[in-house]
Amino acid sequence: MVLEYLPVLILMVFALGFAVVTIVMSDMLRPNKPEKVKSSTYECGAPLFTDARGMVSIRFFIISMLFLLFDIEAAFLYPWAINYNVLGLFGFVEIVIFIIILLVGYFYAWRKDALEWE
Amino acid sequence: MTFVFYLLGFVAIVSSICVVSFKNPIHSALGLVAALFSTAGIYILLNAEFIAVLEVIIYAGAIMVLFLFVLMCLNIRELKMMPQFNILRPIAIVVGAFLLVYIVIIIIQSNFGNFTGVYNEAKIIELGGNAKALGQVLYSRFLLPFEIISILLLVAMIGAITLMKEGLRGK
Repeated sequence: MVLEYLPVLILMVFALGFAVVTIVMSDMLRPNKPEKVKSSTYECGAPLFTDARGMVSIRFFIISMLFLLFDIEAAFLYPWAINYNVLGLFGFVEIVIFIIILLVGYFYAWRKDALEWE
Repeated sequence: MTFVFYLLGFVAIVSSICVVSFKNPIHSALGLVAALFSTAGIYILLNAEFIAVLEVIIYAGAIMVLFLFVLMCLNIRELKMMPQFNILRPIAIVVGAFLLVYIVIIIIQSNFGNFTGVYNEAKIIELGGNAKALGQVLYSRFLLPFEIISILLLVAMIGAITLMKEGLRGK
């Protein structure tokens, strides 16, 4: 049973190996002449104006919160979808009620401008 | 098989210790990702592929993104030991001890992993896999809890939006 996941393991080993080999090889091959300007942080050649760790808007939080909640909703559709033939109309009504309740939340977010960025 | 379990269990425990002991919260978050992935591996060993996929998609995907945004919203560089942590410590120890006792009771009740319930390994394979078996139980026997989940999600959604609106008004 575990052997079915051997391709996943091989993929992970290759992905990790690629990253490690790239970093180690480039470190070994490149000339190493550090300089103050060379080793400073840069972004597309433009000089830095703030630290990378600044405060971000609370809007990022609300977007990821809404994403999380609808992600959970979507996760509940998988077991229903593969059992559609067994559950029939009963299951369909059940899932429609589930989605309608969450749709109320979606319209609430919409009406409260939670999806707007301003 | 047993070796894979012990390897994943070891990674899960070590990375969980890393989560609570690292000073930089971003490093703690990465440790949590490692812990969640190894837990997903253990779920796969238990023939619970659907739960394993959910663990990766919802926990390592969505919840981790949420955690990172919270860290960035708060602008924490290094976590200091805060005084209120020490007040909460005895409560945390009591709650942790109760949870440990509960887990031990469950392990003993389950006859040390040899489940004798209706949904054993043969029955799940007969039904056509973990996700199918879960769906058939969830959408028939546990109909009401399933519908209550949607109300719980709705409450979380409204709560988050209300809090955000209050926060933006204060600016």
